Amino acid sequence: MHRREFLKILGLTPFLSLLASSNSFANAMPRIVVLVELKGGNDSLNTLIPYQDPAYYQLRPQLAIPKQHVLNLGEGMGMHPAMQALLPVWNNKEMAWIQGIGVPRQEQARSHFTSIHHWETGSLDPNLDQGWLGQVFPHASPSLQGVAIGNELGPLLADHFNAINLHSPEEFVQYVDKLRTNKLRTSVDQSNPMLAHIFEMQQKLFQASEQIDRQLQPNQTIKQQFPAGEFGDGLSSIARMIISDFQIPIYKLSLGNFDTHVSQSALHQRLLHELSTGLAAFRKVLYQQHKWENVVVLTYSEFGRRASENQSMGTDHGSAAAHFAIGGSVKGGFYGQHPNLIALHAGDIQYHVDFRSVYATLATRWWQQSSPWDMPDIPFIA
Amino acid sequence: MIPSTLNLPDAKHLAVRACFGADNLLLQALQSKPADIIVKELLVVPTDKPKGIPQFSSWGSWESMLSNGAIGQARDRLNQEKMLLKQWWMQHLLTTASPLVERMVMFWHNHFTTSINKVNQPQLILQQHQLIREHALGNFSTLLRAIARDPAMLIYLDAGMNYKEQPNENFARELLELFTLGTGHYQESDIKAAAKAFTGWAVDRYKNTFVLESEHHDDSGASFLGQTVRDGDEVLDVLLKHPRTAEHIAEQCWSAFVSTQKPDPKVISSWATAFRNSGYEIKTLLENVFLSDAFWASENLNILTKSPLDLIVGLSVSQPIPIVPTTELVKWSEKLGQNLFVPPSPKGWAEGKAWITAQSLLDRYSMIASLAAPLPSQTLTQLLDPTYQLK
Repeated sequence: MHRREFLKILGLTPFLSLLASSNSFANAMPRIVVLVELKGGNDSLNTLIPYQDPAYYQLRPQLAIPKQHVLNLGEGMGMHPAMQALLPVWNNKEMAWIQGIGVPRQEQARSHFTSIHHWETGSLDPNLDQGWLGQVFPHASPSLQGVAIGNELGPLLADHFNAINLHSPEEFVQYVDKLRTNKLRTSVDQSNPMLAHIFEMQQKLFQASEQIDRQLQPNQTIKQQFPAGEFGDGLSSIARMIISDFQIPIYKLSLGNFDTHVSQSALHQRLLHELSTGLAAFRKVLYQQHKWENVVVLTYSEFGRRASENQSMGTDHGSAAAHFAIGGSVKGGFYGQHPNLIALHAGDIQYHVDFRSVYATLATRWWQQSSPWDMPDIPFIA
Repeated sequence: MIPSTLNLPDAKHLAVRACFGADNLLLQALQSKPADIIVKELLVVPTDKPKGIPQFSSWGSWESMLSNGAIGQARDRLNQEKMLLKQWWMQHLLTTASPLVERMVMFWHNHFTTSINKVNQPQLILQQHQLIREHALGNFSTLLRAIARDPAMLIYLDAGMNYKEQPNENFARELLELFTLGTGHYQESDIKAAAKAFTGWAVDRYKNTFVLESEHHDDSGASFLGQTVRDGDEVLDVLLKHPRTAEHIAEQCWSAFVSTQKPDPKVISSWATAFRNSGYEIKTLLENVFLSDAFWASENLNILTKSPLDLIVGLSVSQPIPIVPTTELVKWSEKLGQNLFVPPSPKGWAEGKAWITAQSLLDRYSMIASLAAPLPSQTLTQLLDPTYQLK
């Protein structure tokens, strides 16, 4: 057995990963997941395209991507041409396409907020308000466990999960520092639950900012390697935190607006281009810094879109969709079943993979935690 | 306990909850009188209509820009017009003589959510905004019927694409889930029936009006909550007779004005009964809310989170802060998570704890520190206290 193979096997044993998460070596890396929310409901049928299926062109007379433009991935499937930047990732077998992911009975209620609520909580219960990461990591931690870029914590929002949301780490530290010059209260009346919550957030601000300030290494050249815009900036912030060896297993950011009811083509093209060029830069940077093996990037969205186009050159809310995972430890290829465009269910592609299977895979195969969901995992992580 | 005579803290409580904060004049006016007199006085203040109504491009002019290939120009102008509309309302919020009306304009904007970023025709959002102001303290059934024919609402919820052959359920779903009954009081089949009844309800973007396209309307009838309905008005009739509608609005008032904890069903039932018996007079409902024991109960004081708009308008009217351009306030409001005329989803803006995350609290503090920088440090310390985020 080659030494490299031997180490790889060792690296996957639960014992060693336990050691890795609890020791204090400077370069002990947590296993990281970066969640990319495609806000508004991505049209997955025009993202991963069954371009050899005549039914695709019948369902989409105006919106179908012509055969000759599709980026061939084999098995009759191909990517939207705007995703060119991710083709090398696929060719390198670091990209897994998981097809037919769905939420049970979603076709009965295709609303944005009930749907994203399922994805964020990993649950079908509309009253459950705990993000799914809080269920995978149920124990409170004094150090940060998650960072979301933007205004919402989404799946990172849970009672005992130590996560914050921020626009950019530098700006965050800078503003908190400014605040420190004021005399702020050190305790509040805990009998008022709302006051206690605000005070808790205030304490969290200071703790998180201390941690970020202590650990974040200045690295001006990183940002220039990402495409301009909010999404590129967010990815560069996450890359810098990973490179600075933050012990944070989860990051989240979002890109939108994928709610393409009307005149879809140009907008969808632009969004997929922004997604792909941003992630390609992210991979390149992390690869150079020897972190790519420790990162899995996963896309998700509240729902896929209807199989047939509508009368406004767009697509309406659907249910099942394909999503992808990329990373140095991802086992590239196709998972799930290719879409059957003849046997539609209420106008939607039928789902074969419960969305919680994706979460269960990350919980068990990646983080080696027990899965809170009784769902089969998917071997896109070895 | 309902105070027999309002003292300063009572007056503040009423002002921050009903009126986006309070300047000294309002606080003086509210003090030293019995609560029932004050609430009645507040409710009859005539609506101060905002002046200098902005003029916006017609649909035809957008189309000609686009057909001439001037996409960049159209986008810039659209962004300018959106900002103009936001500034105009912000300016009115800072100076209005009828703050309770504006609080209710926000309440109904958050109830009948419509996003300018989907509608993309500022004139139609302005029309809806004026419609809401006209009925903000008027009659709910009149408002609901007008909203069901409101062009901006119809576009926002895709009702303009609701055809006989392909009914679009978006409007029907939100009508039941958010505007009237609330979840759990209807079946998916009721949504389908309502969507069918509303087929053909559409918009003429050139004339800024509602149109009924009879060729797209399916009048074959469907069973909706046990009754046969043939058009949208019959759906609204059924909903307005349903006891849940008044209860749902009463629940919305509870979480907006009293507490984000679950309400006592007896309180909701009594407010809803009064509301229905009055024929849906909004003033009757609010009188019941503001003169309820729950509204004044000590456990319900200072437990609601101020919205970004509460914070911005409240700070501006109650503190002698330097005047800043309204564009700056509009941008702060967006940064704090309340982009005017752009609710995040049909469900509206967050409330309670969800308003305060680590980053949003930082943004709130940063805004206060920036706007109130010249104030004495003692005042600044009070404004940067967690309690200032509460109302």
